[in-house]
Amino acid sequence: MHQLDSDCRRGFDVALPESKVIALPLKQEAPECVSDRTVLAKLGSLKFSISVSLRKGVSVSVSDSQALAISGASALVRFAKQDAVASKEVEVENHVNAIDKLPNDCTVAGEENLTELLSDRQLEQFISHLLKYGVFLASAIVLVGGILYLIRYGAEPANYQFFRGESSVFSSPKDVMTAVLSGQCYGIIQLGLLILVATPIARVAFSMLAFLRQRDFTYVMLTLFVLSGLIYSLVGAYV
Amino acid sequence: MNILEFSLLVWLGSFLAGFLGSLTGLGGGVVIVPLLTSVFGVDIRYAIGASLVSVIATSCGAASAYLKEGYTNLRIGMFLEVATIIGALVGALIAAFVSVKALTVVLAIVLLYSAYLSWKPRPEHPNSEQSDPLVTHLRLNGAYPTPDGLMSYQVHSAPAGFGLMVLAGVLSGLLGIGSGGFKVLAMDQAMRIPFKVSTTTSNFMIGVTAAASAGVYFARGYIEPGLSMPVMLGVLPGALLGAKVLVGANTQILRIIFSLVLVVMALKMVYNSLIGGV
Repeated sequence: MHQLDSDCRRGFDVALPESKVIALPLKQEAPECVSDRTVLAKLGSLKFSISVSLRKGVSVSVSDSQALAISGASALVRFAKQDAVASKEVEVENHVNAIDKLPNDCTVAGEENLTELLSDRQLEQFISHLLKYGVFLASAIVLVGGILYLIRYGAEPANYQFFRGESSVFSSPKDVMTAVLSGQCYGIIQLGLLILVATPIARVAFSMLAFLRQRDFTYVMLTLFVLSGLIYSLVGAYV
Repeated sequence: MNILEFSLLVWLGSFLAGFLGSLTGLGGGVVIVPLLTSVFGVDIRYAIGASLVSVIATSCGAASAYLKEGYTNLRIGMFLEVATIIGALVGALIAAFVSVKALTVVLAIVLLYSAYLSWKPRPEHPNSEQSDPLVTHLRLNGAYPTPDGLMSYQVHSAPAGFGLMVLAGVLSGLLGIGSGGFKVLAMDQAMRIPFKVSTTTSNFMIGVTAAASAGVYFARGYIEPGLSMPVMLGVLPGALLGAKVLVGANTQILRIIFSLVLVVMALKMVYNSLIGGV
């Protein structure tokens, strides 16, 4: 059994391997489990079980009268209502397309994929921050360089019509750093541009590490391929 | 005009480019290149260098916001990036053997047809049980936020999407036009992913595609610091604003804007090839 602490929150996609059923016994005192979009309402004292067939969806069984709606891979939820008097099962099919909250301390039986998928969300958040900080850092440096550049050259006529083909400053990071340290505005801007270009590359590299940690080797291979392609094209330009 | 005035005007244009690029998944190059070459008379090489900078900045800024909101599908992005890289490699290999003019015309027609296809509204949440085994294996399905809550979606025809993306990579490499448009088209039309997920995932991917060309552009001196500076500083706030707007925007309006931009791209390509420009 895996205990999902406070991570039982809305928004995760439950993908299951083909042969397992997840049992989600819900706590009685978690009324926020009930979604107002679900077709399964609170039914008072009636007990019912829900099963959603795998491959079309997710298998869930609920042992209380709390309701639960899960979607993600599924478009179909089948549930059986046990009539308290006659104890017969009635099958009703319905479409559910909203993911809703699980109670704060639900337990999931034997399912590693859930925790993996939660860390997918963490990966997304991490990459979001990486991109944001990378681009802001690059912009800040470019801004500083830009201000110096405009102070120095602002009054001169703009003549970008003529292509000069200079690339010497970029030919090595050392040159860029020397330029930066001596306060040359071009060098500072170029440093910012280098950081900008490095940001998506760093993003791919970090994603690969994250997939490695998740042991998702298919995606490690995909990301590694992309990373190699990037490095090859960057290095190839200077060779 | 002097450099200060020039920079301010470029900044303004770049802001618009970033805004549009972030909304449509296209990356802003479509605005930057004509703006710089036709309006300011900048040499085309500097213009495409600046366009590269704008694409990367748009991509990082917009993707950061979209990832946080939960629109971007990371796995689809990674999966399709492989295709783009393959396409870029193939494009580089066959570059010597291909008639660029003929390709331009073909591509312009394809773009116009695609603009028509994109314009048509499609149901955003089709009910469909069939799932590609590749999609399931790679876990490409997902959910995205809508005013009604998280809506899940299914990805179809992953191999077709992949193939289209390879083709897109080849074409972008050969013709130098942005691949963002193709990315959105492949995801929207072939893989039938909701439009907002397609555009935001495209934004996520275009930074990587652009970074791949960066080495070449730096080495050849296409990236001019004085020009790239206002572009980058303008594009980023524009992209962030676009990301905020997309959340509340009506999808059909986004489709229309996207289609119009495709039409402009197609016309520009035809124009360039007729006058023999680069």
